[in-house]
Amino acid sequence: MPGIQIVTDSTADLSEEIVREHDIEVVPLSVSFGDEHYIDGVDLTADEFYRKLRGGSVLPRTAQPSPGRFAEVYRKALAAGRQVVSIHISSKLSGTYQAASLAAEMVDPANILVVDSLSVSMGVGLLALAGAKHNETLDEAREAVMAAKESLGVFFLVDTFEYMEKNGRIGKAASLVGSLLQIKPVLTFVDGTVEVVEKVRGSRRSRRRMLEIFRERIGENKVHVAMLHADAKEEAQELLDEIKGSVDCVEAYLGNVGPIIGSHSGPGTLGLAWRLALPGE
Amino acid sequence: MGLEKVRLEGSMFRGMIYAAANRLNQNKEKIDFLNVYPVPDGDTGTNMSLTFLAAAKEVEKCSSNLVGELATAAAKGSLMGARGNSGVILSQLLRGFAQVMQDLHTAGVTELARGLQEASAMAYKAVMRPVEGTMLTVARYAAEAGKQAARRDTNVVTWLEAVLQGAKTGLSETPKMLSALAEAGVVDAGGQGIVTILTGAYLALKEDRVPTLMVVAASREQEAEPVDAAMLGSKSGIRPVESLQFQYCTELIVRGGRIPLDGLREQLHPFGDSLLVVGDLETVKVHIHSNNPGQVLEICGQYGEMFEIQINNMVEQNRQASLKTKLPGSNGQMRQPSNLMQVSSTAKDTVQKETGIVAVTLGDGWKAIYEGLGVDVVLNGGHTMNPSTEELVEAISIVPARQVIVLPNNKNVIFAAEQAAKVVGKKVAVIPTTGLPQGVAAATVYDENLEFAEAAKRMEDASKGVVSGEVTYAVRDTTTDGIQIKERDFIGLEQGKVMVAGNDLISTTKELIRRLLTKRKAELVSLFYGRDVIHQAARELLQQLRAEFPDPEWELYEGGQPLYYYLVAVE
Repeated sequence: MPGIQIVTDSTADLSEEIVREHDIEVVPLSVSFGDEHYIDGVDLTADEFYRKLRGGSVLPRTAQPSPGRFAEVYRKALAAGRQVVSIHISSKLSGTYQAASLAAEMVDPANILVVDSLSVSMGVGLLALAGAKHNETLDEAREAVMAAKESLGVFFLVDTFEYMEKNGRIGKAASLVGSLLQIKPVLTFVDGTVEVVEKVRGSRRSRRRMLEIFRERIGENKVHVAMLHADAKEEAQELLDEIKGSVDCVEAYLGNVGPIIGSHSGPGTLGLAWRLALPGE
Repeated sequence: MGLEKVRLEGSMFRGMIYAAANRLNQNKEKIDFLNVYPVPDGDTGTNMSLTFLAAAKEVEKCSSNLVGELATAAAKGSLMGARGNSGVILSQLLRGFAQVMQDLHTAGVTELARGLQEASAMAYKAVMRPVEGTMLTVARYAAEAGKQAARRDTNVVTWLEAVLQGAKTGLSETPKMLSALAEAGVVDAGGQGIVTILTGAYLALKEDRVPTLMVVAASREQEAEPVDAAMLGSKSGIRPVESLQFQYCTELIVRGGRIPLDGLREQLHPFGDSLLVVGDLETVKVHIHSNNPGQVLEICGQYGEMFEIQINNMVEQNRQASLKTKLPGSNGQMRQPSNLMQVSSTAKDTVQKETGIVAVTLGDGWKAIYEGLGVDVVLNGGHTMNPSTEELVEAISIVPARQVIVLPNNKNVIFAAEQAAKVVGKKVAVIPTTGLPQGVAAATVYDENLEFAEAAKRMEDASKGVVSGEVTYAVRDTTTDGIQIKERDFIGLEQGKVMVAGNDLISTTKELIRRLLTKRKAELVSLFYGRDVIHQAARELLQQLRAEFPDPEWELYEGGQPLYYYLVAVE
């Protein structure tokens, strides 16, 4: 068994197959619609979630895992004689990183490294995967995760600003809400807060611009990419196919934007996460 | 009677200017009508008339009767009063003429001939790519005739007759030089304006008569409501609430010798905002919003004699305006007149921005669209989109920013905006947007994080990615671009060129859009319906178009523009 256990949280949007294949532990966040409480990925799938989201009038609330949940996972790995690298959603967006840090502090800080990805969704997921592929020693895993974090990028498009606005996570896109014209901006995270990459009119044009700007940013480099969607699989698949046809991809994933991120971005969201390939990948 | 007249006296010259202004004013609708396209917003006559009227008014204020001073006054008046391309060119003609006249007490034919030549040269120089078959040609023919006539004759009356004849010859040549004119069966409108001016001047000279200058009563100038009335303080009405931290709008003209514009600007700067100091060494117009109008006057008084001093209490004006006006289509970010006082009390916190944007628009819908895109000052271009240089200068100067990007949104405003940029004393970039949809594309991509020139470049590139169509009606029978058109027909234009005509609005609009969409792969088509179209009708049209063309995305907005039923943007 490799020396390092990679831990992440359910906002990383890693599928069950990936998690199993790469030996990653996922600590779930929870979602509530009013008095109905669910554990992300355990008793609520993405499909069920979007059905509820589109159908209902109650806005979902999300909650970070307790430090105790992290402590449990960490103790189990340490008991198996392994060290831990635990990678989480941006501390600017969620208390998850803080809960994980508290747990590490309680359990064994010398043998647990907690990483703030400053990213979301597969941005976190790509870091976890980078760690999982370099999981012999703590130094090796740390180096791979930090190097991957350097070139990590996330773009996303939302169908409506409604969810971001209601959840207070709208960041710099706030100025676009009042516009009479429908603006479909290409959005990103800078230091964990939402920023506008480019203002665009028309959904199709914004999808095209997202890919164009992505290609400008990566240049000729090889990349790991993930295309995410919140109940918009067809569009996501189309975009991923286009990326695969025009960019040198080491790996290319298609996945769901899970309930936690979906609660904040709304149905119809499309996301693109990438990192440059490390030497030798 | 004027047979032996060899020197033109100032008093006579004054009369010629008044007579020319009156004649142009009486004939402006006819000139408006001389449009290559039979569209209802021809405004060359109106623009030239308002510009020349500004020149004549300045002459009226001039107490001297020396030809040189009168010519200089006319040039100055037209410079700030210039509207539209034809107005700007006219102002350049007057400026060139004044340069030759400036030191003369009276003028003989040799000097007058040189004046016309300089006028023509100045106008050609001002236009980036001069086109023959326009008012430039007519001015050149007039100057050439004047040069020839001055060689054989010293009588100013017969000389001017020859000049007028030359101008008329030039005018009749215009359809031969521009096929579009020939096709439409018209002569060039701006050229006709020149002939009209010369005719008025000639008749006054021949009859030795000094008429009074007719002041235009209710022209389209008033109708135009230059800007949102609710923000209005001054007559031109561009006034964001921010400036209300200074209560008194103070305006005056200073006349003196060698007034240093920059020095005066600097001295007045600490006393308020929306500062505007324009003019030349002798005459300066000062505009400032200040809490110390007295001190402003004291400073200005040091540079010369003061005229037309106006001090208005803007807080009071806004109080009144806010009682009367309700603004449709505003969102929370915008300045609602109903909260005007509330906003103004917090206005002190608003910081001066690095870069601001001015957009020329028309209609409430467009105004709200542009405001929603973060444009700082929306200047209502009026019925035919023809703000004067002065209004553009004022709009640029009241933006609380050192650098200003201007979206003229009409090909006839670009030139005036560039003129305004030259005199305003701020760093200005004029994006040559030829229509409202092009301006929207530019404003959308504005990125405050980019360096000024780069931001402007990106906006210009974006505006060029838009192809626009317009639907309006024909004001006369004609054949243009090979299409037969009857008066009252609906006509569809692509980038200003007639593509379709018919007697049904819906089918004409659809046909135009079919043409627009066959030529290019469209991702997004936006329909902006005008003042005379109801929302329900526009929505039905949109649904039919969407069914016929399911591929592009379709968007529908209320533009509220007059005269044009639909503006279409294909991107």
